[in-house]
Amino acid sequence: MATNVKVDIAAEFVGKKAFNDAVKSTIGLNSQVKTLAKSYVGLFTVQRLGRAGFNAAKAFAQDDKAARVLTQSLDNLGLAFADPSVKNFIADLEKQFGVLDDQLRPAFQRLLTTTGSVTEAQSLLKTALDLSAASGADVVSVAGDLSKGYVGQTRALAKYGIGLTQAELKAMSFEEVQTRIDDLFGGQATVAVDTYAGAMQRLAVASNNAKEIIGGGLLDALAALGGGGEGGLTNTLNLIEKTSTALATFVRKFGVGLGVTGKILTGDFSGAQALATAEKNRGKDMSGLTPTIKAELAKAAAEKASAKNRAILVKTTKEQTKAIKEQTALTKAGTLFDIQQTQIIAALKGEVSAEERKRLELQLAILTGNTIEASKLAGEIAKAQGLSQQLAAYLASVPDAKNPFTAWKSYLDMIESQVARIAAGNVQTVPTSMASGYGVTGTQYSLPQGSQFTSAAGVDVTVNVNAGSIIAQESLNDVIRDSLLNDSLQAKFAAIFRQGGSFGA
Amino acid sequence: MPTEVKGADKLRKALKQYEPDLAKSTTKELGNLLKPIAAKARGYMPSESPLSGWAARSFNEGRFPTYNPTIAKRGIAYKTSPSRPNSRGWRSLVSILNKSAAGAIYETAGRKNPGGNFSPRLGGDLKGTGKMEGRGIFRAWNEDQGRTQGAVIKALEGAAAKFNAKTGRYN
Repeated sequence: MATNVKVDIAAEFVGKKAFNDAVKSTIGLNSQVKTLAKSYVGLFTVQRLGRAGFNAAKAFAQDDKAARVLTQSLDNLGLAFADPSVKNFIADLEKQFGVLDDQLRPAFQRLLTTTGSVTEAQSLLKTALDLSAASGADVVSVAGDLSKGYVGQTRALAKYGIGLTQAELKAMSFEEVQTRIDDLFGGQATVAVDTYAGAMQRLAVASNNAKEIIGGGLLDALAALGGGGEGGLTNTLNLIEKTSTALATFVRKFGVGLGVTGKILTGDFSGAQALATAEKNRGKDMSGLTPTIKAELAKAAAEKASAKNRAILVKTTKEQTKAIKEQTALTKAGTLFDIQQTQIIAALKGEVSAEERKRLELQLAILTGNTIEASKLAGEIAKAQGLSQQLAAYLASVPDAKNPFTAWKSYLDMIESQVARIAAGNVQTVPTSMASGYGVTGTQYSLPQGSQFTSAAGVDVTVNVNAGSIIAQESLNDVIRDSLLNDSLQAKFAAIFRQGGSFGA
Repeated sequence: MPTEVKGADKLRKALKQYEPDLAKSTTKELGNLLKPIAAKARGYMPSESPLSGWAARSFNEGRFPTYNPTIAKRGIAYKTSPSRPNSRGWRSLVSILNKSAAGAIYETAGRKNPGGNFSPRLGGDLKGTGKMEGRGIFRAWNEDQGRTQGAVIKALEGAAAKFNAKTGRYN
């Protein structure tokens, strides 16, 4: 259990409590003054009047801004000449239909920027007023939907119940749609004005206009108070600011004075002194440090914050680098299954020439993203290619080898001359008739006796064989076969009648 | 009454930031100044319960703190780091404390009635005045006659001067 028994040797007044007391006292006094002020009718009336004046000035400012925006839009569209007529048109519509110019101006601006034509925008604004009166939607929204419809987005118009399906809306031109809307809702705005609600709206319009007029006058008056001209209003505002600051200082000091008095009356002198000291030292630097050291401290704090940010940045960079490394590792691992790489690796395992090996290694390095190895191998291949080129140049400079077929030509020429000789008829006499007997005798074939030789469209030879009575071809075959058999069996048997299957003499 | 030192907290932060060695040596110097007072105050705490019924016992009869000489002596300490501001906006920078409940009772019992029941029975001497009157730390502080206080303030001023000299800036 901690106790409060201690000897304070050195202490510092930080004034937190005292400041809080001062703030509380000031706030309390403020509320009391407010209550007091509100109790006075005069002050109350002034406050209300001030509020009304502020609202009027605000309304005037908003109206002025809207008017300027519309003027600028007209100017941008090259329709600046129509500005006065547009202003009159808006003012007339406001009076006629009881719709505030705060709404008419944005609606008209929207239509104007879409159509680019003052006439069309005016026509569409009237349609928008009718549609607005019939549907209950505000005229700005209706004008927005009509603007969309003008450029082909007719989807939004279906919600107004114009009796057209989405398909029909898409199929119809915007002029047809507008005609349909005018047919259905034309005159609704005029009718609405004559109702009680319309009368109330017109009253509101009149009130608002009065507010704007008063606000304009008030701002003019403030500008005149500050000397008039361009800087008149600024001067007045500066004056108000200074006055407010002075008033706030007075109220605070008054509150502190009351607080101090209260503490003195209750015998709390140290509290009163603290309160007074706090007020006295308000805004002053009580740290006791020189400005240079304070600046150094601020600089150190900034450096500390900067170092912290740098540390965070370094940490983030490290994390990113780590992530990239991991990603690269994964990619490399994934490439193990790459078919192209597999083919290259398989080719490298086979028997290839040194240059081919380098080419394969280069392809592999490029595929795996090993830029260092790739550049190194590319250099080596380029060098090898250089050597190949040198070799080609050397081979080109080597003289032609002797043709081993040179001698063939003389043979072929000889053959050609022989063929030419034969073709020229310088050949041996071919046999033209058959001599008697078998075999070749000289250049003539001897035909058996009785044979006839005719040479006409072909060769027809009739051969007479003196081997008995032979009538048919089969008989000739039998005679030849028997003769051959007899010759082959002549050693053992003098006569064998093989055909008959018996031996004979 | 403590001596008001303006900007001491800022000085402490500045020392810690720019001259950590000087900050350490200042703390050590303050400790060396306060240590004898604390040791003297511990010596004034009785080695056994001054009242027989106040002594620690084997069973707990209630929540009133019994007197344990070890705890009472250990409860006397000094502090050189700033405290939180009190309700009046003061922050203590250097202090000597009697932290234990029994030690605080022995310290202050009988202050309002010096000749009453407590004073003769508890023994020791009540020294000091007003809220600075007591048997332990207040007595030691009273007997010091402000020498340590002066030395502490001087040490703080010396640290500020050294700091300004080292950083090359003067008020």
